[in-house]
Amino acid sequence: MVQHCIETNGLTKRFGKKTALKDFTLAVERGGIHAIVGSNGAGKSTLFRILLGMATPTSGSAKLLGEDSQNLSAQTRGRAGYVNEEHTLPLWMKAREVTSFQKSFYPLWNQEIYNSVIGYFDVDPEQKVAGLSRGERAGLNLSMALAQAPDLLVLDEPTLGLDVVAKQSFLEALMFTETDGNTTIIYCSHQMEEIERVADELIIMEKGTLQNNSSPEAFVERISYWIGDFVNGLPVSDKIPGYLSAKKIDGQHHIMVADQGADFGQHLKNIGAETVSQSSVNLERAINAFLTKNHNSPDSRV
Amino acid sequence: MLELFKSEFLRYRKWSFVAMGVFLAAFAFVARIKPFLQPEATQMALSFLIMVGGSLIFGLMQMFLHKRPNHWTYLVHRPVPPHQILLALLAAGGAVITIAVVIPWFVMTAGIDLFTNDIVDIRHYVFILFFLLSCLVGYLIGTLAVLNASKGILLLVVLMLLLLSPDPVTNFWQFFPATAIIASLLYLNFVSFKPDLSKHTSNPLAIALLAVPMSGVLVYGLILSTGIFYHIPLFVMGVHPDNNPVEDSFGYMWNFEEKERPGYVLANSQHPKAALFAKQAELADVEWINTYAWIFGRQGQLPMKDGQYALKHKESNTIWQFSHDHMLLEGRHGISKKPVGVIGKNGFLAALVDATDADRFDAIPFLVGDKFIQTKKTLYQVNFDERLLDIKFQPAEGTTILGPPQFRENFVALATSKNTLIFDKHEFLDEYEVAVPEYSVPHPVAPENILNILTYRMVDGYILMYMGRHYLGFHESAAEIIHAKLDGGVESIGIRKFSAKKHPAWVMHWEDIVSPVMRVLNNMVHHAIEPTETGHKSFSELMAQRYPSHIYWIVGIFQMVSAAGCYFLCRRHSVEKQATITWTILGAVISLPAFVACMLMNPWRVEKTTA
Repeated sequence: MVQHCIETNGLTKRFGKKTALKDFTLAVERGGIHAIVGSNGAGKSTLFRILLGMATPTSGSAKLLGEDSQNLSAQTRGRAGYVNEEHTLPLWMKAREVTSFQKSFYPLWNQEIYNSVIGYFDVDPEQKVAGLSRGERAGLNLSMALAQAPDLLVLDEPTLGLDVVAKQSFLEALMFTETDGNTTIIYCSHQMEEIERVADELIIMEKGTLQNNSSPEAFVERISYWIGDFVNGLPVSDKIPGYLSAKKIDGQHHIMVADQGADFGQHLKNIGAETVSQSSVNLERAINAFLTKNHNSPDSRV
Repeated sequence: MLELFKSEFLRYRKWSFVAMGVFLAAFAFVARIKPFLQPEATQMALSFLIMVGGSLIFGLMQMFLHKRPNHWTYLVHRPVPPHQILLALLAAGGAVITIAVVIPWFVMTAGIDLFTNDIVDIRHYVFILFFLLSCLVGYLIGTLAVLNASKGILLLVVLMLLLLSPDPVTNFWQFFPATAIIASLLYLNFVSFKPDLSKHTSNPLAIALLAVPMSGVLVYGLILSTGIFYHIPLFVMGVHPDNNPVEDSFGYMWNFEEKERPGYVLANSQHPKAALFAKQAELADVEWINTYAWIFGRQGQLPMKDGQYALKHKESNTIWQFSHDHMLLEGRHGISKKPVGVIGKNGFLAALVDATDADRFDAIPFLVGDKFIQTKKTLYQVNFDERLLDIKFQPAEGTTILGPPQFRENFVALATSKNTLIFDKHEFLDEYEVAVPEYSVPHPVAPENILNILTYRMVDGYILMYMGRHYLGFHESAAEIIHAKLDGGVESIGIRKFSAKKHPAWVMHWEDIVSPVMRVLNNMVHHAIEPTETGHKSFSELMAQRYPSHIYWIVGIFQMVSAAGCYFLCRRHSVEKQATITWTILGAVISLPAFVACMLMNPWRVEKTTA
């Protein structure tokens, strides 16, 4: 039987008239790094809050490491780490004190991992957390989260606001641990290059619904990129199956579609394209096209 | 848990020591200008306001800082059960308050005890504990206001009134309310502390513990509501009874000058001399006496309940202060602070060591002016020049003095449990004379039913006009004229019953209509704490009160409407079944305040998105 570290079933969360999660069903297998991607308001934070028991679903259920999220035991909480984008830590304590404080709660604390990860960051143990840079704080937070040897580690936009160097260190540390440990990592980010580097699985959320749960490669395969000459202009999007986006560049229409086969080129010819060619697409462009398909934007097709 | 406590304490450690230093400096300043351990009402009120209010704000702030979304996740999402996390936070908060509050008080009390001759009783140390408990109540209300999803939790601040306002008859009643309130608040904090703070509690006990005190506050708000739907409209229309006195109502008397009132009261009297007395009263000197039963001190009472703290003798510059530990007045020089002797119930003694148990007072006396010491049984007069203590007046066996002497222009009055006594003023103030009353007038009704006594000096004695809203019973107002004769005779000249009422019965009894149960509860609690306070009725006294029959109907309708309102409100918000039942019962029992509490404690609208 497949073990899931996260399971949701028909999860719905409404805030008044707004629906943050809508009949959201997801099962995340154990192991690897699972990236969660979605635009602002897609419901990622709500999902994490429900999974950690900080919010109550309007309907449906959520399980974390096999346990109902609404009644998480202290043991299960000990097996699931959580790092938020603010890297919340007690600002009034020294780095050394915070580490010792955190260590006291986790019997499986792995000092070696801590030492290895903290080595990527220039953190003075005698420095108060309030005096650490954002990157140093992120490093300290990640070091402690990984040293707890959690079965599941949720990283909610952990590199937000970090400079290039800090971000690089963070990702290297994370990837290093991923190879050494048995921790399942849920990595939520808007940084596509990060996703591309670290993700084993890609979960895409949009407007509170699940849009994709597959490997990044499988997702990229779903997206195809076509270039065509439409003398009479591009037909309305309803006539283009799987339509994601289109742009007119140098008189040619560049079209991205989802879930279309090799015969899509013929379809484009049937609706007016004189010439058609297919081009490759990378993960970032595929995700961007996917996420922006339902967003309001000026029509750039003509 | 210990690590969490240490971390939380570390967060506020610096500020707690800063607060401690500031308070110590302030206390030292106060001690330089006045006796620190004999605080005046304003000083004590200010201390409570700053320290208890500060504790409340600290509780609010502490939990609010944790409640911010990411901080909350950081706090709660760890392998520690929620109740242990809260325990660590509250313990740290308690430690911070202890440092900021207890240490300054203790340093000052112990310092005065060790390094001065000022009287420091055990009760002064006990007071520190009470102060700490009061601060903890404030603190826990603050934490609860943030942790509990219900609105209006801050109304629980009214619990402070239950702690601070009464004069408890025993140490048990001094500390039991505070302990019970702290236990309840701790329970409510633990029930409220959960990962999802937006969840309203459905625990029946927690709902009841929140709703009952909240209803106690809301009662006052609802009582004031008569202003909106009765008083203000009538004032606007110009027909309010205050501006249009209702004839033959109790308040109608105030249309008359004091001198004319006996004439009004005696208008229908059949007494042959009624008209004569009415005429004489118009020419008489008018003064007044009250029969209010003062609450005498009790041994070991907290210093904030002390009245006048010492007798001062200007000529010898000595201060004589009552010690609860020794039950004696201990004297010291005003400047050198050296002991100058003690006063026991048998007179002056050279030193404290000379006092025997027979010298000690049996009860805590009132100190009146600069030369009277008064217990319920005896009024003593001190002659400092000759170091004499004389019994000025002692009522008959089985009779107690209700309050201190009332000094008026022409006489001194003393109310006892059975009589009103009028003394010649010069004789009363003569240090070498025993006070013998010129007039001793038995109370025509129970003293607590008498609002006031107006006195009219006559050629052959006094006319005493007794009056009260409940003179003849519950809301049976009347005024009675009694002639106290110079020869000792007492005769009732006439009584006027006021059959008309100023306001309709439903306005007059609105306080009882709003929530009979809360009124009974409030009276019973206070009656248990301070039975000597006649303003609070016992259960049997309350049950003996009779209302017009339609008042009972209004009460019943309000209770049913409140129960139905609570039920439908809970259904509308999909409140859990057990909570719905609890609220419905509370509505049926407590009536309107419970319905308002139900609205305050359940969500008004759905929360906004944070996704």
